[in-house]
Amino acid sequence: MKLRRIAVRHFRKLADPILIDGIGDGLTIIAGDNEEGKSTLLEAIKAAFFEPAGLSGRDRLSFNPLGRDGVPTLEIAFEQHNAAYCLTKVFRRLGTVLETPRGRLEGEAAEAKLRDLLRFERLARRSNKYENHGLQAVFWVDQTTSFDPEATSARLAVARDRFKHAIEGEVGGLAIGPRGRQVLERARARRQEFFGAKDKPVGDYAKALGLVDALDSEVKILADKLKVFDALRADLLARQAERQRFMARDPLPEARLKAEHAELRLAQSRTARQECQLAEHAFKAASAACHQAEAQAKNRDHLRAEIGRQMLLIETARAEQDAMQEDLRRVQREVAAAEHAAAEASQLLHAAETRQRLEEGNHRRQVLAAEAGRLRAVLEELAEASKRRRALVADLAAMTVDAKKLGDLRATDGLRRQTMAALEATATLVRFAPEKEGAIRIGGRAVDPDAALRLTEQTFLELEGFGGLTIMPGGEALATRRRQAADAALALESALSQLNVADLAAAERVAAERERALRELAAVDEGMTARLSTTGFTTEAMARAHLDEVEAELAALPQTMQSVVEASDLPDIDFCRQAVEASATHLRTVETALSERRIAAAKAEARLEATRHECLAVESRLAAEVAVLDDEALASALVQQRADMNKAAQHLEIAERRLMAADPDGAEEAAAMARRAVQDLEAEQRRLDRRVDELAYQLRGAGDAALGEAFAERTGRLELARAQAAAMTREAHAWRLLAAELETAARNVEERLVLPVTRRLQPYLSRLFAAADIVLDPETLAPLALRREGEEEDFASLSVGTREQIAILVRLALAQLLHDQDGEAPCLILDDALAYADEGRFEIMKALLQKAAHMQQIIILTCRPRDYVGLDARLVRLEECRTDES
Amino acid sequence: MLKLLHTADWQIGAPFSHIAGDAGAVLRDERFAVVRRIAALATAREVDAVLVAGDVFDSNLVEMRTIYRLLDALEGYRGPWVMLPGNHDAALPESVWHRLARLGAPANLHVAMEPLPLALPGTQAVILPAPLTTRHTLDDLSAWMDSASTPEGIFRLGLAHGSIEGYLPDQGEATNPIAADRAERARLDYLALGDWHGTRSIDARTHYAGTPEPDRPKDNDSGNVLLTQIERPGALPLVERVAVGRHRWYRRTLNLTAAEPSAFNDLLGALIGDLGPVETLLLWLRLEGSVDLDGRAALDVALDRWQGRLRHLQLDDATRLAPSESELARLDEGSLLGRTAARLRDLAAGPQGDTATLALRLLWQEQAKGEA
Repeated sequence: MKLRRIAVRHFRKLADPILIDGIGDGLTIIAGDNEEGKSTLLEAIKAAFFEPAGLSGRDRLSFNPLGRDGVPTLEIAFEQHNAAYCLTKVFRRLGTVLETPRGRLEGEAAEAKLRDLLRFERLARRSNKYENHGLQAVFWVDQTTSFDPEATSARLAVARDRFKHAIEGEVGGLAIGPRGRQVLERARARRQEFFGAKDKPVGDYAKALGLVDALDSEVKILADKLKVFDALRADLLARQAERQRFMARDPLPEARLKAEHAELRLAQSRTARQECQLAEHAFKAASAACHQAEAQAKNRDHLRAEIGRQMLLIETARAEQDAMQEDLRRVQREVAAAEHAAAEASQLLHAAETRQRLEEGNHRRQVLAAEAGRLRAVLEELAEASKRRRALVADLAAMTVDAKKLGDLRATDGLRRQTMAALEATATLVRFAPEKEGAIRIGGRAVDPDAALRLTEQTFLELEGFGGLTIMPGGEALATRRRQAADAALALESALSQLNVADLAAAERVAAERERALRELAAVDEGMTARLSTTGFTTEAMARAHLDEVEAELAALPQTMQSVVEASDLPDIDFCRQAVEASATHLRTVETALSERRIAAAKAEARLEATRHECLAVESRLAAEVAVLDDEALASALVQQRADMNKAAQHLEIAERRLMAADPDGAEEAAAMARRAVQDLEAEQRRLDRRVDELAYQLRGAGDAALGEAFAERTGRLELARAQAAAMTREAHAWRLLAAELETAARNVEERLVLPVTRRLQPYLSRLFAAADIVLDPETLAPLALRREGEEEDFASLSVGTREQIAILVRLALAQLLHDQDGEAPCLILDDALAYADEGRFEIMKALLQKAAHMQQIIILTCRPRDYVGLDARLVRLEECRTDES
Repeated sequence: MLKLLHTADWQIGAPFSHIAGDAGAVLRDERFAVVRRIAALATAREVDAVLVAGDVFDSNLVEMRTIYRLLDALEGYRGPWVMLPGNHDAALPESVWHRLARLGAPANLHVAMEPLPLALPGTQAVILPAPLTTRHTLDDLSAWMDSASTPEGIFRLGLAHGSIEGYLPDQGEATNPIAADRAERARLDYLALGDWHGTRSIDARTHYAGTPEPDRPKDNDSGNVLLTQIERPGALPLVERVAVGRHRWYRRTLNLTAAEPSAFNDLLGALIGDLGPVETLLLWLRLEGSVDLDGRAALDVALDRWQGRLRHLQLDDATRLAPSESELARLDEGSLLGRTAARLRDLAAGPQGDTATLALRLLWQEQAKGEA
């Protein structure tokens, strides 16, 4: 279809008539500002074609011109398959007129012809619904709807049959079909009954498989229990056989007989041991009695020998004691001689020591006298220096100007001079130049007229021959300075008065004198310190106290120097001392010897006494024994005891021989072994009985558990469950395979269905996106996703601009498909499209539209005609299309 | 004259849990029901004793409840029951017989636990039993019967459980062997045998009674007891086979290649009709041949029907699916279903052939629903 002329009058915003004529085959740009009526123009075109002239109600009223009376009237000339038509639609009853190559149609006939030409049906009750627009729902794109996924999909669905027809014309009869889809859905549903996510069995199928596993586990557990049962039974049989063998051998009676024999032999050996022990006791008793008698006799001999020996010792000791007494007396005499010699040496030493002390006293007196003289001289010098020092201190007290006070005074004077200089600087200089001599007076005092006056305060000058003149120098500053100068002078005067000096020069002199006196005082102090240091004391008082001590010691020394001369014939004191030492040593030697002799004599006396005592004791013991049993009786008893002992020894030997023959250790061991053998055999028998009983008990418990029946029952159920699970598995796999194969086949069909569109879309798309393709809904052909490098991006998630561009390209491809199949493509009208395209994409889209315009008529409604500059297109400005009312 | 009822292989306590649904429970109960029928028969025929030649119980380790139920079933006959431990209930330590003894077995129940002569109460007969004391042995436990001495003029009756040597050549080295001429060598008037579940006579004096209630799909003439009469010691016994079994177990094969799908139900009906009443029939049916897609659907419907009627129908489906030309035409080659069917047919020739075949069947079934 191609639109050739559009005339609109009294339609909404386009109340004034407009006429767009001579619309060409290719690209037409209809430009108009916002609100100028571009979208209304598209609405008018759709109303002309798809709304009945007799439309009523709110929809019809919405067509009325804004702010004006008049019936909406539309006229569109168009071509279809090279046939020219002209449609006039006046929105009132029977207002449709269609001029066709075969004549003029009016009213319903014209409407019916229109529906037939454009192949649309009025499906929706309301007007301006794309359900009513047939193929044009896809190609006449309203403002801001070209990028809406839902609107795009819905519009494409309206024209589905047309596209399908075109596709089938290309790929032949190819469809999934309702039955195919029904079977596919059924297969999917059945597959879901068997398999869940990740192909995992679910529902009854999972239960059937689970039952097999559960029963398998139960059967294994029961089989294990049966094995345990069989093992128990085998064990029982083995134990029973063992017990039977034991009972057949019957070793217990023989073992018990052996044990009895062993016990008898053991009893005999024990009797022999007792007899042997009795004989041993008897022998020991006889032997002890014999030994006692022998010891008694031997002891008696020993005592007698001891008495003899003691007597001999007493004699020897007496002789030795006499010799010792003689030696003792000799040593006592030596001691007396030594004591006398020592007394003489001591007296001589005492005289020598007295003489030495007198000589030492003389020497000390001389030393003390020299020390006293020297100290007195130093103390006199110090007294003189102290006197000089006191005079200097008195002078210093009278000198009031020290260095600090002098500094303060200088500062006060400097301030006074500064203030005076400042006052002088601001003084008014008055110079007189009298023409004739005349007196000049101030306060009656004449002033030298040749001298200049420096006035610092108000002054009245009497000028002779003239009168008077009052000079008022300076201002407030002069008064201040004058006051400051007066204050400074007063301060200086006060300071001089305090220091008791006339002026600054006098003060300078006093200060210089004070410095000199201070230096002399320091020299005196230094001299006194140096002199005092020669005495070895730090203060004069200490030196004087020492002098007093020396004089006191000197006065105390004895005046016995004469006796020293009288003792000059005495021997040397060292000789006297050696003599005293030698005599003392000799005395100690002889005294030691005397002491030793005395001790030795006492010891000898004690030994003699002890020997006598011992001898008496031995004689006493011997006498006591003899009194009890005399020597003859003792000898007789000894003979008898020896005979008894020999007899007991013979009895013991016989008993020991019998004991050895009885072998008590062997009998003990044999009896123990026999007892153990009986015990072991009895224990073995009990163990076998107990084990058999235990196993029988265990088996009985296991038998009551009915394992065999349970095992057979579970095994049967397992077999059945396996068969049922296998059948379900076969069915499940069959449904899965069927669903998969149907899905694969359906996918192939769908891919082939969209192929004619995608093939036409690709040249456009490749200009916009390198290496990308569009996934189309096989049912509606609406774009579902953009696939780039294997990754699919959902169409709805793309940017508005990209969605709009893709939607336009799909329309171009569909138009191409229709063109190829039908020989004619529908007219494409875009209202304010590509508003979201960036500059680069916009240029590409322009080029693509330009290319598509070779195949189909394209009308672009835009408010920015400059964007489309450069295209091979006719530009129509809406404002230039207005016509007169007539 | 001595009148005996010879039976064996009751397998009391066999669970039949491998049979799905109610059938398993019915078969379990039927083991007791047949004992009651045997007791009633013994009473009716006034036999001198009932000899049970082994495998009274399915296992030595059955529930106490099972033992009690058996004792209840035995009450229908007041004469002597003589039971022999078989390989399933061997006289091992703590066997089911020990537990039975502890429960206090009725006075008319005699369990031959040892190979010792057992005088049959109220008769001039001695039973020479050969109880199994292990499950399996390679020794002929009946050998002792040869040397067992009994008074003159007394019936010598052998009672054993095992396989007669030489009668099952493909069995290899059979366990629990019994000499084929044992009756003759031991001078037995009658040798009552158990272990083979079918009824079988070895010679005039040697007989297997078989299990009284069949328990497997084997054509071995089971479901009987033997009523034996011996006029006098040394006389040949007169043996009567009496059917007491209720259920019948069969194994059959049906080839469907040449049959029309519409005839499938009738074919099954004819096969099953030959086997007697359906409510007590257990059938192991192997299906062979090839069927087309419609035939498969018809077969499924027929099988469903018979599955509901029989006590138990166990299928071994080895049929091959071969869609017909008309069926393939119905699945438009260009359509989704047609292409999927073609792909499944290809896969059916490959390693996942069974799955692909079943998937094709399901596809056909689903598209048929759509057609309907």
